[in-house]
Amino acid sequence: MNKKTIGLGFFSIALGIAILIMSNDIRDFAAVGVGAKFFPRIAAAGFMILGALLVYQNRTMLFVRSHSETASMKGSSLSPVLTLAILILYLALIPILGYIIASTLYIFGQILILNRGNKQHYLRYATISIFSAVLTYLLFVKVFSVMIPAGILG
Amino acid sequence: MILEGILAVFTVKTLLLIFGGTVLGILFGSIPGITVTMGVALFLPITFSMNAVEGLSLLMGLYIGGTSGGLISAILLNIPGTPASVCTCFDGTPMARNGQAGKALGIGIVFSFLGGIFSLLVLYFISPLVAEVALNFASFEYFSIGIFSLTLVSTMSGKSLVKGLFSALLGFAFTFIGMAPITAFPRFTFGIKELNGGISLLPALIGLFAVAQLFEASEQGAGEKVKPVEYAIKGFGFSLKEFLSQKINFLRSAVLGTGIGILPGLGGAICSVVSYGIAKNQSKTPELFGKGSIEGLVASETANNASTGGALVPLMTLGIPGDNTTAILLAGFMIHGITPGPLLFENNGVLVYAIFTALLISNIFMLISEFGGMRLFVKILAVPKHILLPIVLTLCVIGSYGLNNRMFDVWTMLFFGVLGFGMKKFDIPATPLLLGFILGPIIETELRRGLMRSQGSFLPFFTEPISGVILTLTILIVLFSAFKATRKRKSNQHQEVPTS
Repeated sequence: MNKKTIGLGFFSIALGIAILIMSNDIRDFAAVGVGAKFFPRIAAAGFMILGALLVYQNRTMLFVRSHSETASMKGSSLSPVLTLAILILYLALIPILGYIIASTLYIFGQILILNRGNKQHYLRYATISIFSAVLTYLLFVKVFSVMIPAGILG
Repeated sequence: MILEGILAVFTVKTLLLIFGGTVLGILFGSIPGITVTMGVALFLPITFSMNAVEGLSLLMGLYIGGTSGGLISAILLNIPGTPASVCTCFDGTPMARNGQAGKALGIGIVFSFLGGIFSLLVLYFISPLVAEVALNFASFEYFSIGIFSLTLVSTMSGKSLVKGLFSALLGFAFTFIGMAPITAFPRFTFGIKELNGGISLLPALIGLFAVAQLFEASEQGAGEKVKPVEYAIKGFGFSLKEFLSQKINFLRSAVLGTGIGILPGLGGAICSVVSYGIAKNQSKTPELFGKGSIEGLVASETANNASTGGALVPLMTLGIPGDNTTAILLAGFMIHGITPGPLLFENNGVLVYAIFTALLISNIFMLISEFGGMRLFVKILAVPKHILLPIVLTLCVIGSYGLNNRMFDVWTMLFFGVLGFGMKKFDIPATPLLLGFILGPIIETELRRGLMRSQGSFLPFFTEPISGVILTLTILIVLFSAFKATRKRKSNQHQEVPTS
């Protein structure tokens, strides 16, 4: 248990309050039994109770200044952020460039990110990227009849 | 009906799909870091263009292959490909290091096959009986079963029950998005028209179980290249005498694996650990366990594969998923418009027996392909993760896009991927979220239906005999879990005191 768990507790309480407030806007009609607002409100209460429990269970950490956590945050890898950035770019490019080109660029970039700090083999990675993007496209479109955006190549 | 079901599978296309599914499942199971759950989730969208028998046969192949595939990396790399093959490492790796890799693989493969077949027989004979009882269920009983299934959260929560409950509640909350059941008024759509239909299960699944893994791998880095141990197999790799000496051990492990597999929430890993422990207790040579004992290997591999048929009993008869993979298999049924449960046996009897046949064939294909294609699997095991994962991600994109042919689902997948990664950072288990996501709509719809039937009274939920028993059982389990969690917490606090 640590400060992150307390943060999660407060987040859970805030989420519960938000759901409770938003549930007021739900149009409801229930001649018998419960309506569409019932379960969101139950969940809201649940989030608040669980949040309070998480905070209560870790209350001793509330006023403790944790040096080790700050240090570990600073030392955490940049790669997940780069991965998220390249994924957002990839998804944004699919409708424009199409699956094959966007996937080739993505696979190449993602391999470089995952292999950061080691020796990079650019030509090998480029070949793998092109080959796998084309192969998966052909396999899914021609064999499994799945629709995939073709983009500028279509 | 039985014959019709069997014949439905015997088409060239379906047999090829089962074979392909089994081989791919073995690959997914054998590559550490890529799970069978991920494999089944990835291949769900491909089944859209198939009929139910073909689609579900492919998924069953993936399930069987994936459960068994973990033994390859467990023996040759000392890394369990799946959590269920952890105990296989204990004796498989020492055997491989002593120059008996071929024997270890042979024993593992054959007893995986036999364990799978044993559990399939149990599934075949038990599930129609359970389904017959469950035929009497109505809204009250379904609501109670939904609530009862939520108690599985306690077994899936890992270190913290509260975090497990938070995860389940989060999954439940995601189901509020879209049209409310029965009245069909929109809820929590924030003016986004794509949200009117709610969040699709598939992109959420792929995000939580596949994309999140990519983020995790990117944080860990490429890692060192792994080199499998050399091996050679002659015949099955072991003698008839060695085989016959394991008959009691096999039978005990198969019964344990299937029995524990039937209990929702426990899964193959627990089956394997329990069976391994009991085999060691009962053994005449317990000192050999952990040093390359055939008995240990047989116990682990028989039990984890025997759990497959067991886990399918509650899924097919009651619609309750027992673990991650069966939860995704449940989604596989739903995608084809089939709701697992007692009515499945009445309305889709042919499909039920087709699935049983597909499972049997898949076990046979698993045996053949693991012996015949071992060299290929070992070669693929050596492909580095930094090359494999980006390619898997492009498959995730295809899978999510193929659902409704819209990029919105792909963005949903990314959202759940980030959420899954964030949850891992906060030690929040992802499986309860999935459980909440699947059970949420069932619970809400059946409660509202039940209340309409009872003119707004909650009483029948407790007074109807089956529903009452299930709800009482639920309350007892909740109280027991809470008691256990409090005791565990207190004992942890006591242990921390002297060190602080």
